[in-house]
Amino acid sequence: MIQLADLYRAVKAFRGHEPDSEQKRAIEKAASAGLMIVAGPGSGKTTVLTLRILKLVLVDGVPPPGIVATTFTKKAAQELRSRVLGWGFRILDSLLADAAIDQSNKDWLSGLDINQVWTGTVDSLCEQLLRDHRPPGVQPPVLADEFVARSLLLRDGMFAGSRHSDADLDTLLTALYAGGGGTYGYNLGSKLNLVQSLWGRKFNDLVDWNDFIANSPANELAGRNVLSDLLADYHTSLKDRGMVDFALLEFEVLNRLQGGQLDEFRQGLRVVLVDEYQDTNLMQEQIYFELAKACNGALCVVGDDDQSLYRFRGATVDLFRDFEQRYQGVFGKPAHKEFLANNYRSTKAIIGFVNAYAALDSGYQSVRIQGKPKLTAPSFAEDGMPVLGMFRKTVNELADDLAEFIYDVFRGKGYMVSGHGAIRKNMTHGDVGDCALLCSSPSEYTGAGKERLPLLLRQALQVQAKPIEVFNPRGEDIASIPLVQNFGGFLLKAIDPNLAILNAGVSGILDSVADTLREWVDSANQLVNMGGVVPQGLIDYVDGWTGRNPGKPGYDWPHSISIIQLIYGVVHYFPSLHNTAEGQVFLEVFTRQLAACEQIGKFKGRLAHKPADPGLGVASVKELLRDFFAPIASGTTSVDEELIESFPRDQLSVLSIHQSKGLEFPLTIVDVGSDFRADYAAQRFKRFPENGGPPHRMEDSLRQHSSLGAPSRLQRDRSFDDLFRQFFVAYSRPQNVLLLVGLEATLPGGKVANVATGTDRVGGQHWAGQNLPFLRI
Amino acid sequence: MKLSVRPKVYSLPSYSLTGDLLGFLRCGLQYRYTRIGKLPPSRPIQLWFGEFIHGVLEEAFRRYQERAKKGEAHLPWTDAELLSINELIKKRLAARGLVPWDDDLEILGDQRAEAAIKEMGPHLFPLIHRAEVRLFGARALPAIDKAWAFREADRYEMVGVIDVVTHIELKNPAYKNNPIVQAVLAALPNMPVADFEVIIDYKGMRRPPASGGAYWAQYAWQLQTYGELRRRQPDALPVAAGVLVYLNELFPTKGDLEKIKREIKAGTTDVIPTPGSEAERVLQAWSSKSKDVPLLPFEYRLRRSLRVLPIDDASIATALAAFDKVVERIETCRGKESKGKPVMDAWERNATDENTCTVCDSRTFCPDFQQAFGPATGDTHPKLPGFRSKGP
Repeated sequence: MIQLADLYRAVKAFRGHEPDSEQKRAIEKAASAGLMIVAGPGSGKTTVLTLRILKLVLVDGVPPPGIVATTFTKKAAQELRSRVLGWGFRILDSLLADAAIDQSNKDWLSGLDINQVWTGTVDSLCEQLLRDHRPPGVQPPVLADEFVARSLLLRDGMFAGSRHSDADLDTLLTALYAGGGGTYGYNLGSKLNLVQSLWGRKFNDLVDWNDFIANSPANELAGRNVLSDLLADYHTSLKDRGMVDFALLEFEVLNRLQGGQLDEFRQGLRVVLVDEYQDTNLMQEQIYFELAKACNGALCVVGDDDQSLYRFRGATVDLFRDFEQRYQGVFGKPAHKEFLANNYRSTKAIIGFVNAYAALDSGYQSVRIQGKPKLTAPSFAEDGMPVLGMFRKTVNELADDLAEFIYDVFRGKGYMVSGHGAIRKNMTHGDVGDCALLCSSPSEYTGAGKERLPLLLRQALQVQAKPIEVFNPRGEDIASIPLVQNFGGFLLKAIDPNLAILNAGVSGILDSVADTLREWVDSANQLVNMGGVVPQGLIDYVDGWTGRNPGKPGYDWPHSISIIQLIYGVVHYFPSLHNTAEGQVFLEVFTRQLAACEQIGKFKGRLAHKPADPGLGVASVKELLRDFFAPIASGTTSVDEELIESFPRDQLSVLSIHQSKGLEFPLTIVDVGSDFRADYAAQRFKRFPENGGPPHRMEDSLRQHSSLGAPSRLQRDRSFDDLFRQFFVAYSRPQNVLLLVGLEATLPGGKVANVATGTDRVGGQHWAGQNLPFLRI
Repeated sequence: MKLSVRPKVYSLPSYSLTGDLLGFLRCGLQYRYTRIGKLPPSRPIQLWFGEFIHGVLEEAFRRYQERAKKGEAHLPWTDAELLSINELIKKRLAARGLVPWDDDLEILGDQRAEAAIKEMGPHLFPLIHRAEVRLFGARALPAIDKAWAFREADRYEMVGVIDVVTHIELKNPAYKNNPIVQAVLAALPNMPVADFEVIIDYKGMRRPPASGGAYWAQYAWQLQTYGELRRRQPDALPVAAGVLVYLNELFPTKGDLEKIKREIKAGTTDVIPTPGSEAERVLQAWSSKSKDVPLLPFEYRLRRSLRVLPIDDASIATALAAFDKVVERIETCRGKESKGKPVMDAWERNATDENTCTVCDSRTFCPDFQQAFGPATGDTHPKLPGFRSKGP
């Protein structure tokens, strides 16, 4: 084994510097320690995790297969793995060439295989454990994708026994949805969302379900019983298909760990490291604790309570905040706590702004980790441009001015800020990919179909002298992309000639979705009518399907045919789908949705054709319309972001604040209120909540039946906490320039109260007048 | 103020030996569509069969191992148990949307599973040390033409899964008459150390002709590379050899027998029946016009199914160099696509096996297929589905 000084010398050899003193404290803690690292934004969290892993291997002699490190997303896991391997091999090379290392240590270093360190998400760890360590006769887990899980929950859970219209269930769900308020927008989709969240929380919070039923308020008992039956039927439906969802996957692993069934795996385990611990849930915490019991409490958790964003998915930030006590309770020894507060990302101006924002609301301070230091800038950090704010009367005006700003910075001569010079891209390698617009939601349309800033900005950038593209895979409505419309239109023409079956009505397809499908067919028909645009081969091919005619004498149409054959047949005539990277991404949406349709449907994604029984063919078309076409047309199924190059250099990225977690951009634009024209009650939950939302009500309802216990804070306070955390994340993304954008109504002191523009939870406005912390442009 | 440039994410590419490297060698464009683009094949016949036979062998071994752990004597497999294994795996595959194309394929799968478990299993299972062994390794990322360079990475990760690792103790009398051990020893140039490992990889295919075809060399590279990654693992013994098990040979179909006869006649197969053996007699007596398909003696079927490859430093170095070259080619194609080349121009269309192309869903628009086979096959455009009428 080598000494710490040897490790740091090797690190310096390729990074040019050693870790700073607070990073070193976290890296150097004993391998067997319980360790909580509270890492502020830009403080080198991945660096510390990487170097701690390498220190465990090289200095402490922990065998690489004994290390398990989990992260929140696949992307983060890939980044951590790349660092561990990339840096690890560079360090090994450096040590092997180091004259100060003796030969026996060099021999030992040569035999090390750092590839054996396990990195991944907790779900991939669970999947691997259940696959590799299963007894004979037990199936490895097959994960149901999101659409399949929701479809089974809807069909086999909610529709069974007409539970979707059960009055008792409605009583339970409306209480969660509206908390006694209005039920505007409460429909089948929102019911399904609530039931899916309840299912998730049942496992995430390890709810004692018998207690949940036995101690139910009288007015909810009947509804809770219906819910129990509904969830049981969904569970059976998954089991019958040999599938699990994420909640069941983790729950099964916890059960096996607690039942001592994964001993073989645990025997080799030496250290467990968990990233993004602020967004963990009780079930995951228990998994980590069970794993750490196998290595005498060698558990290192990393996170930042100020950046906890996933309460709505079942995360409980208290588990991170209270880690020291919880760890002591389980392992009987104290955990160490280390803060990383040196911010290497942003300018001094931005760090100052973020620190002030974190301290703005006095009600928020009591939920933050005690003793947490402010973010500090290293001495070499630039003062930087002041934080900027662009506020306009209307969203159209805002989109136009913002587009010009972006254009000036990246395509023009720079944007002049009075008294501070011009903001301009880096002239050698800079491009518009150095900028991102962060929003609460990147959707281009509101739920009511109104145009939002991401769409208007896209349009405004398109009409600049040198048009700029926008990269917004989550916000863009793929159903309105011409390539998708035309391709989908020809498929529809082949399967449901003249849309006779759709037009006669198909249960489970909303009118608006049916309209979209009609638009697809209209789009395809327009192409045909233009004459000469559509190859005759495509027209003949689709006509063959329409007439269920094989086109060869002596041949009959098959009784059952997979739609994948139709898809690949039509793709032949769409070069954009098979010859461009973008087209491939859209084509994959169709094939993935067909695979989901195969898994849940009676007809397994196939078109039935039996002249003697026409009803069979109609039923199969209805299934395809409902389970294959409609989810794409409605946007339920969208593009697989893993297939897309992340943040293309020549496009403006638009992403949700949640998506931006862990990322940084030289110029970060944060939408703090482009939707807020007036003090509309329906929008308050996004800026100044009057009460808690469904996630907070669900916590109150369920946590009292879990070891977590009922939350100590009021729903409204938790709702404010969540909003402050969201904007803390957004404001801490930029490297050089932060620009806040919104409507004038939401300016500090304006008529729309907004936590993102300086209002605290008691209505105090901290930014108005002389205190404005940004420069208006 | 000049903005800085957003730092690139440092991300090492990861390549699996089978899914990526061998997939690319089969056809670069097909690999782009199916592996990178995640597009499913319309006729996943080979996928179902390969996964079925792997799953069946793995499950059978788990059951064998469980009994061994409990000290129970291993009784011959009953039909009921074989059936339960097959059904378990079929259900597992169906949950992933994989079903046999037709009844004939399903029956053939059952027959091959039975031969593998009942006939090969008693010789193979006692040798197994671990099944499904995951392998990882990192290698220097080959440099590509600067015009196409697109990522910040200096290494790539190579991953794979060995079906089975066997531990062989030469002094153990139980192994003396084991035909798999004997086949391995016969193929090794030197007597190995007393205790050594052999890596086994199942292939759901027939034994290809030894005289040609890219697959012959590519599968050898795969095993050599497994050997390199495996020997770095802490529980590994010296890795002496790899064995490819061509599972179709354990239960050949009529078509397979015809090919065996043709290849023997042409001298293109490396495993011919021993002169005067029962296998030779059966093959000579059988005519393809015959309705019956005789079952060749197990000795010959097993011999045809096993291809032993000695593993040493030199053979490993050759294989690694070959795979580095493949990574360079894939990275070049990726670079070309990321720099805006159309998909079909960016990716190599390097298929050498007609079978790869005839089941490819891109064949009607792939320029190479069209040039080589299009007019002859009639696959110049998509065909409408249909089956021959049975008449009124």
